[in-house]
Amino acid sequence: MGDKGKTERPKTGLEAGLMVCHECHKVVGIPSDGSSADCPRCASKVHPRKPNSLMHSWALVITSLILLFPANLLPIMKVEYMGAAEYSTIMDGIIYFFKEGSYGIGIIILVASILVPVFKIIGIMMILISIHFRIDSWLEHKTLMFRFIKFIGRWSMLDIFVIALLTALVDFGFLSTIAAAPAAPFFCGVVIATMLAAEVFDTRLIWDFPNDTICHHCHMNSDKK
Amino acid sequence: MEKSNIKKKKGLSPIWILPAVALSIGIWLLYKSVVEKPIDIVVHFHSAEGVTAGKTKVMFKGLPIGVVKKITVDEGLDTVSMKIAISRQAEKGLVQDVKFWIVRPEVSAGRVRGLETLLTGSYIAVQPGKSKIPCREFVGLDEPPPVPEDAPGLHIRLETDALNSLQKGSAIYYKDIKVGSIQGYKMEESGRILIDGYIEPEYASLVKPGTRFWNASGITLKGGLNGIIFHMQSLSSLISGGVSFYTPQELMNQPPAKNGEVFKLYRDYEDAQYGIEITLKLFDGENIVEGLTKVIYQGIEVGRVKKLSLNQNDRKYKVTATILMDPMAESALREGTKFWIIRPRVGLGGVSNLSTLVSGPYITFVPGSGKEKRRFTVQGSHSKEILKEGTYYRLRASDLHALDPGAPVLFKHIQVGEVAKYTLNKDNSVDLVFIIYDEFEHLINDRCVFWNYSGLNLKVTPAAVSVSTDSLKAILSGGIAFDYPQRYYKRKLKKAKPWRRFRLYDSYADAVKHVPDLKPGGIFVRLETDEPVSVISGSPIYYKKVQVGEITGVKLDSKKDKIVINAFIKKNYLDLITTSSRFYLTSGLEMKGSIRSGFKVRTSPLASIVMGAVSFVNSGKGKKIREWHSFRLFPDLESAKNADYVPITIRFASSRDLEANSKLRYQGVNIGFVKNVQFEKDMKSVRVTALVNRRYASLFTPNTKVWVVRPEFGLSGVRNLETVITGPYIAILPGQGTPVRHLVGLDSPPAVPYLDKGLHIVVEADSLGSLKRGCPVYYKQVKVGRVLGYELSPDSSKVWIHLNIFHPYSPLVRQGSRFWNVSGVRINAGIFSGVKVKTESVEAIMAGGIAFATPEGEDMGPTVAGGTHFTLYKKAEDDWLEWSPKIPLGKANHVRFKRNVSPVIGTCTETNPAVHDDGLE
Repeated sequence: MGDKGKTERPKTGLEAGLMVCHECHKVVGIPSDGSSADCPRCASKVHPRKPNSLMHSWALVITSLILLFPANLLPIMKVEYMGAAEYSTIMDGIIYFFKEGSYGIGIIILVASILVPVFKIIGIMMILISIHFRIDSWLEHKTLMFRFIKFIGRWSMLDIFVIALLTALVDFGFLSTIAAAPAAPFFCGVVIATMLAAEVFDTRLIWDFPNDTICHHCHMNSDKK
Repeated sequence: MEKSNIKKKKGLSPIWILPAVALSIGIWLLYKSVVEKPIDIVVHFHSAEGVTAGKTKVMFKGLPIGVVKKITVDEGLDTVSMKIAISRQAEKGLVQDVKFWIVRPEVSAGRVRGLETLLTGSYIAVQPGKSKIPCREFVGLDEPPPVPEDAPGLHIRLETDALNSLQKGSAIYYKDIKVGSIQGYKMEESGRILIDGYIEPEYASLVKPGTRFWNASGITLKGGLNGIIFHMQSLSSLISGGVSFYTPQELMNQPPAKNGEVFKLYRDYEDAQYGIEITLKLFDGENIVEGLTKVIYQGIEVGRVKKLSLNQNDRKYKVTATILMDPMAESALREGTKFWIIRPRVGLGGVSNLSTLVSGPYITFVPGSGKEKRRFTVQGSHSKEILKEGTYYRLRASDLHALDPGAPVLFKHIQVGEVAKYTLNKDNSVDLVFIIYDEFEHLINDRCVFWNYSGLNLKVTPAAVSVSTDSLKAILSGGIAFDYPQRYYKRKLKKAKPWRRFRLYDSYADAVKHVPDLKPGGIFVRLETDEPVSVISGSPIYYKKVQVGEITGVKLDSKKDKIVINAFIKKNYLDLITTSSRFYLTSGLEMKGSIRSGFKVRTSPLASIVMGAVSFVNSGKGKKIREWHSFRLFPDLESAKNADYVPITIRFASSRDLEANSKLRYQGVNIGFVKNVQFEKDMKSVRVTALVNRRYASLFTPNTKVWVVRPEFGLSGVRNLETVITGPYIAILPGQGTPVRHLVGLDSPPAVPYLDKGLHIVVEADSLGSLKRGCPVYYKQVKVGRVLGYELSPDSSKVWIHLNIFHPYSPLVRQGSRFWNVSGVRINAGIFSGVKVKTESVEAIMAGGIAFATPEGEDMGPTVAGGTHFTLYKKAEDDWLEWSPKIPLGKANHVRFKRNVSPVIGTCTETNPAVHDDGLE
């Protein structure tokens, strides 16, 4: 549908001078003097587009990208067995499961803890960059990808849940104890940052640029203008 | 448009703080990892056994300071290199003489260590070095390094001729506490071995210059007849060797030893005893035991014989004893000091000094004056030298008996003098000279009668105490006893003149015979036996462990086939002895038995341990005895008691594990025991001779059934399990007729091995199932009877199972009663009904059983007579289980409950045969 949509795209709300209330979904006309107004029905602020959406997404994506390194390079879990502590990074755990022959668990952790965060970061960045450079192809695919990123986001907390569970379950004092190691907060940071980045991003922006007619709160676009 | 532009100029959104913070954390982490980057070092080891790259840690004082990153085999293939990442904190410690070694779990005969690594895995331990030169490549040790020379604590050297079982790591003990360890050893050219020892700092002050170290490896066992020294250090020292030390009390004030001080390592504890070595020449080494024989002065141990050696050329003093004297005795070691050996002598009146019996003789001395001296010669028996003051008398005897010089002269068992010497006269009689100590001088008067109190000269004495040691000989060396007629006791008699000559009678009896006046109140009896006896003159006679008399002589009778013992019973105990008295030998401690028949331990007064004793028991009433009544002397109490047991011989096809002392039981009550088991003359069967209490002898009649009860193991069950422990026994089922003494035993228990008690009925079953003899019979799940036995019906169509219903329950069985098999577990399961599990009792699950129920009302029917036949159903019909008739139990039951407090029904019915006679049956 991508190429076809590009040529025969219907008008967007913005083009039609309409915006939608995010709280009660009432369609409101964009006031001529400003870009935001109070919703006549539910009195919440109505913006044509989420304000500063791109910038916030960028900031959060960059944060998560930075945090991704300590999250993966530092040990995430500390296993004390008979007083001897052993630290393992996420990758150590995955390798361990693969070595043990538990491929299923290995794949789950690999997907949830490494692939998904990386995919999320790369995906959001791709969308942001494509908006930035006004690449108007594959719009539909990008939207699909974004929805997927939003959906998958919560699953990357799996690793943290596992560690939290193990910490509570395996606490036999000297015999064996499991505790979270330094990477855990970083990893949490990565997941939270990517989730927020997806949250603050206004998907409609994907579709805005090809039209290239309306000015809205995206400063980049207004610069061009 | 404009507005939006203005908005944009508001500056950077605060959201950018997030990436900034993340970035700064990232940079900080990066910086930290660069700064704290571990230092790579290489350590060469002979083996990487137990070391895993990436896992094995380097531990210093229990803290991980590094991890092995990579293991490679060196070029020469004889060592491995480990690339180890060491924490940067430890950088300063990486100097040339740092020592690395691998700690692995080690369990060997020599030692156990590193056990914690069994769980945590091996690790590499580090000992810091002293050098200042940094180094990154090291050679690992195979063994833990010794404690460094300058470590706090005490470093000593021990000098020894042989290493024995000491090794590196052996512990050093002080009062069995590990206070240090052996660090290493080396042999000098002279053959001397120098051992490096390390004492931990907190114990260092225990070691003084005068401290003695000895090898505490393993067990020390030494000794002889007189005793045994058993000394064992801790188990670990037993395995890996060890060194112990102690500091004599008087040296405790010395300043602590200095590092590097050399000590002599003694061979053992005795060796290390602090003392002054002296030598003492002895006539012989008899009873002198190295390390055991003590030197005692005024009751205090002041030394020990350390070594005995033979003197090759000295014909008189054949042995030299090397003695270690306590330094406190040093002042006594002078020219005039005289040593002699005290051989223990046990008074016939008691064994108060039993310890010397065990410890053997000791050496004592009298300090003299003069110059210091270290070499001495033993004096003769002290009894000659150190006599108390006294008066000498003479005795003429026909024989010296065992009266050596020093033998005691006793008056009422009190030593009042001793034999000084003897001479042989021309007429072959013996003259003895003895001394009476001053304080007893008044006892000797012209009326005195002397007799030989020696133990019997028959050499039967060893039987008395089979662990006889030489010390015991001293007891048996005999003595002289004397007395004078009692009627003179109150009068003041003139003292006999010194050197007066008395006659020595051979025995008390002999003396009494010649001097009837002497006889105190009491009578003599004669005890006869065929077997060697362990009593001697003076052995006590006990009645209930109270001495009532004593043995006055032991001799062979004229035919030389019997030993005749003269026993004297004191007057006030005379009425205890009747013709029914049974005398038996008592030795001090008797233990006999087997697992099967049980153990018996019996002790007697101590004196009887040494001298043997005779006791007697009375069995029933007897007549008064006269003087010199002859009794048989039984070898022990058992045979004395069993003297009135009746021998019964039973012929069995095989002995069936019977042995002497196996029991004979009737209704579970012992009625006798097996005396012996022999082959019959035809060698095809065995003859068991049993002794049966006379009271039960009448049970043995021609049709008495006799069989052996043994444990039976089989798929169908285990029976008579108790006999595994108690051993098989003979059970009997008495018959009628005149008592006999010879019986033929059955090969297997009879079909009905019990007397007909209660109600005997028969149930007919199609097959036996898992029923066996002894299976319970239940009524309302109460056990009211049992299976007596079973047999095929005469036409072989059924199995007849004989049941015995215990007595009080016999009225429960009525004409209408239904019997069914309750063996095992019945499980009924259905989708809707659920699962029903039915069992009668656990016993029934295991062994099977029979239950019965009796209908109510008219269906009940009359009571049945013994022998009535019933059908045994495979299972109960439901309505049977609901029957609940009211049936009064047997009357006898209630009567017995009053009579017999015990409410245990089973035992009542079985052990009280008198009650059954008036039963309902």
